Amino acid sequence: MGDSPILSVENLAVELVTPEGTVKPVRDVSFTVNRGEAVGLVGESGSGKSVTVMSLLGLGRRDLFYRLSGKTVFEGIDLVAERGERLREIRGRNIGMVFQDPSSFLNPVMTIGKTVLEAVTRGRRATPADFEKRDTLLRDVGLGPDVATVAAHYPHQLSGGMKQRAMIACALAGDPELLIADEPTTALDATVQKQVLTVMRKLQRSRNMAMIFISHDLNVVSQICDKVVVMYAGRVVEKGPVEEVLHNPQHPYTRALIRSSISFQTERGAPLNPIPGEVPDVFSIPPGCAFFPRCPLGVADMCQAKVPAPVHVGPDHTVACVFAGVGGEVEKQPVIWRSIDAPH
Amino acid sequence: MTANRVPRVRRAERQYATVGAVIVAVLLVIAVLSPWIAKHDPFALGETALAGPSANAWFGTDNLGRDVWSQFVYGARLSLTVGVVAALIGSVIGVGVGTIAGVRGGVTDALLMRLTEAVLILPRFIVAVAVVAFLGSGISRIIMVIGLMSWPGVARIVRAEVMKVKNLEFVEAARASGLGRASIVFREILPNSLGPAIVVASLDIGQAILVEAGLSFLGLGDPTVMSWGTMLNNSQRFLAQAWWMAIFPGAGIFLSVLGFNMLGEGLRASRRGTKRARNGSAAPDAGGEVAA
Repeated sequence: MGDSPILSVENLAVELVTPEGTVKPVRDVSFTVNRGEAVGLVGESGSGKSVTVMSLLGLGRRDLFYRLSGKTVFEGIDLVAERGERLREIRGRNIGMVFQDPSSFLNPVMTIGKTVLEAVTRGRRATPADFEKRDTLLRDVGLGPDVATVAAHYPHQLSGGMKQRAMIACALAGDPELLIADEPTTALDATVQKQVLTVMRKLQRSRNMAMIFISHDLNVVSQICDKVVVMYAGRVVEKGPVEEVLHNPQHPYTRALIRSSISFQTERGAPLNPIPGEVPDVFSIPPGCAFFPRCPLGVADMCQAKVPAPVHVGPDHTVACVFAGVGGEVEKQPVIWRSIDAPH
Repeated sequence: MTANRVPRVRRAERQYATVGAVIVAVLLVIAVLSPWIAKHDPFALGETALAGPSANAWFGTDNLGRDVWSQFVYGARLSLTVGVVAALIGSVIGVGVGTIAGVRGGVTDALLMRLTEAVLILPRFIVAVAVVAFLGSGISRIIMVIGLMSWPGVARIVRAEVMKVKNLEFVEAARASGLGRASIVFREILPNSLGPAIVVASLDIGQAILVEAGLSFLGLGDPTVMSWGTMLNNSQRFLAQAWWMAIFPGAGIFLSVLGFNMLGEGLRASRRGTKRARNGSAAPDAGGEVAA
């Protein structure tokens, strides 16, 4: 794996000015994505995963005024400083985006063929080469061999999996160097989920594309990603190589996430282990470590005093917890992960 | 089929559209074919005045011996032209204003909407009377006045739709794939916002027909073209002797306005139906699964 970062996010913060007051759904987020690498962004709903990537592209709630600070360098361009036309050029061409719910992210009055063609041409007049490219894309995402028939269909005539494949085709239309996938399989059922993941992984490898994969499903992340970034209440709490983080989680939140997830290995009748409490509201994030109120280890004086700084516990493995590295006090969680399937 | 999933009342409402469409279609055929199906020039004087309906003159003749059927047919042509063109002018302006207001929002939106309200509160008919009284009564002028008065409804509904649609996910997706502002407005937002505008426009056609008929009835219409309103005006003095002079143009106005209103209301009802079906989990699409 080449170690040149294609995207580096440094101290990214997002402030939203809402009628109820200013909120900071993302605070001080840093991570890097190397060329050809897949990075999983993990956390419960409301932890700021989507806002992080949307703000990179200048997307998201346009009705709210939002402010970015920090630095996000993509191929030498600071996306935070960039606005307007230049950012539009980057979207779709250099960075492709796959969204969560294919049913609502496809224009209902356009056929699949038109939608994908539009992603290819981006507004200019279509040439025969564009049509060919569209067909290749549809075939690449597994909508072949009869692409003409699929292209003539409207979104409501296709299944969820087919729609998601079409959306992946759109995202790949500009031959991006980075693909951002925001919970691309959450809206799909389990069997289709697997097919779509397989397609994504295959394309990511064959195109040597970097990928940011947002998910709350650690099983999926463990299968598809090289690195994982765990977010909680707008901050990165733990990040590192996926094997290391999942087998040797250091942050109590990561552990809780792992313990609460269900896989095929979960025994029938085994108790579920939900994380007690809920993600704090963006309007009232607790002082210090935001996870403190739900944390089994928390010590009020230490945890609430200030936000814990990230500590290295491995070469690329950092944890933002005052107990990080104090291994003795914490019982290790034996975790069995599904083997990573070979791409088809 | 799909219709079985829709409650009976809904279904009846949807049939409005069908009935309306049939009425409109018949009138449209009459209007388009009028030079061929009218037996005479509507202004050509005949030999027998005030003759009742007969095989020779289906709708009778008027006080000057003119063929009422021919007048009716040309009247249909005029009414439909006025209605459609005026509503078209109104729709173009309305869609433009509504789209700009909806897309830009903020101050632009506030200003355009106040302007829309200002036009909306003007009584259409009175303004039309005033303008025609001042500037004279050419038919193109009448159409322009009605058109310029009838855009606020479309503007308001298009604005509301645009505001809703512009925040939908697929617009976000289009933005994410790097489409420009113009492509997003014209290809993503507008096609998904025009449904309700079509409903309002078809109601506007009925309104426009009424205004023109009213003007002509008051003698403010264009004297060079035959209008149902003019025919009615003409019939007043002979109501006792010649009911046919009044009943046919009256029925024409009644049916055309009814037809366009039913079409509009029916379309509105069927839109409601598809929306409900689309949101429901049991019926994912109202159009039926057409996958090959």
